[in-house]
Amino acid sequence: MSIVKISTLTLSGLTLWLAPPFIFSSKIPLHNFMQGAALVSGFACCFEARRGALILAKEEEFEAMKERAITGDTADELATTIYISEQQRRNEAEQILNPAPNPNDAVLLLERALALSSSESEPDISEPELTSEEQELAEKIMNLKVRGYGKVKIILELWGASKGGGAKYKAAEAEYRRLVGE
Amino acid sequence: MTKAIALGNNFLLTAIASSFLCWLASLHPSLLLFVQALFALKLIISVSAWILDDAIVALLKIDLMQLRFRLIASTIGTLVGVGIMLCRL
Repeated sequence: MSIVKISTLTLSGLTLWLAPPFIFSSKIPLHNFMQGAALVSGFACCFEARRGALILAKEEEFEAMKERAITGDTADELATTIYISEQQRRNEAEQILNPAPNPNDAVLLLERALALSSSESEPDISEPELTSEEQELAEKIMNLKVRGYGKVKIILELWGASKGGGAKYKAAEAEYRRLVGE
Repeated sequence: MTKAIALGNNFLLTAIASSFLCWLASLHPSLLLFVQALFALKLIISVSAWILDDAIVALLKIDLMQLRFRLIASTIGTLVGVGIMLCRL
């Protein structure tokens, strides 16, 4: 139902209410009957107009809510994109400022490291493989890091432990460090 | 805008209903008594609602201002409706 229809119904109701008492005489039976009929019609018009207006108001509210949600999503997406591009630019700048060592040196270092690791007779101290739940948690941590969350905030978000939370926070911090590989 | 139209129509509905009751009252003396009783009942309900506003607000889960607005609007609507029919030809 459009606003035009609602307005028309309202105006019709108003006219049917106000006009007959001043146009028709109450002393003539037919006129009197017409007055009653006009009042009933006016009531029906106003009732329908009210119903339509309420439906339209609800629809408008829903549309406004949808628009707000879309705007919020877009803003969030834009902010994430800006943050990621900024991080990339920062990394690039860091790479320019602190260039990597000569490739030949890097190869030498790698070879030396390989030689050391192969000659080691100690037991393997590499990190144990993570379970699927832990991997999922690690992924969540990485996502939050990309969003710009700090360690404390990530622990609060994923483990529900705030700084100063005592043993719970310490346990969460240890788990965090293990997953991140710090 | 649409909410304002809905509120306006609420007022019109009240006014038209009271005009219709007045028209009914003009048809027959016994109907006049019936309509008078209806208006008296409405008056009693309105006064009770004004006195017991806190209980009604809790019952209907609406704002106190909203309840007062509705009571005032319905009273004015009724008076306007009755006034229109009293001023007719």
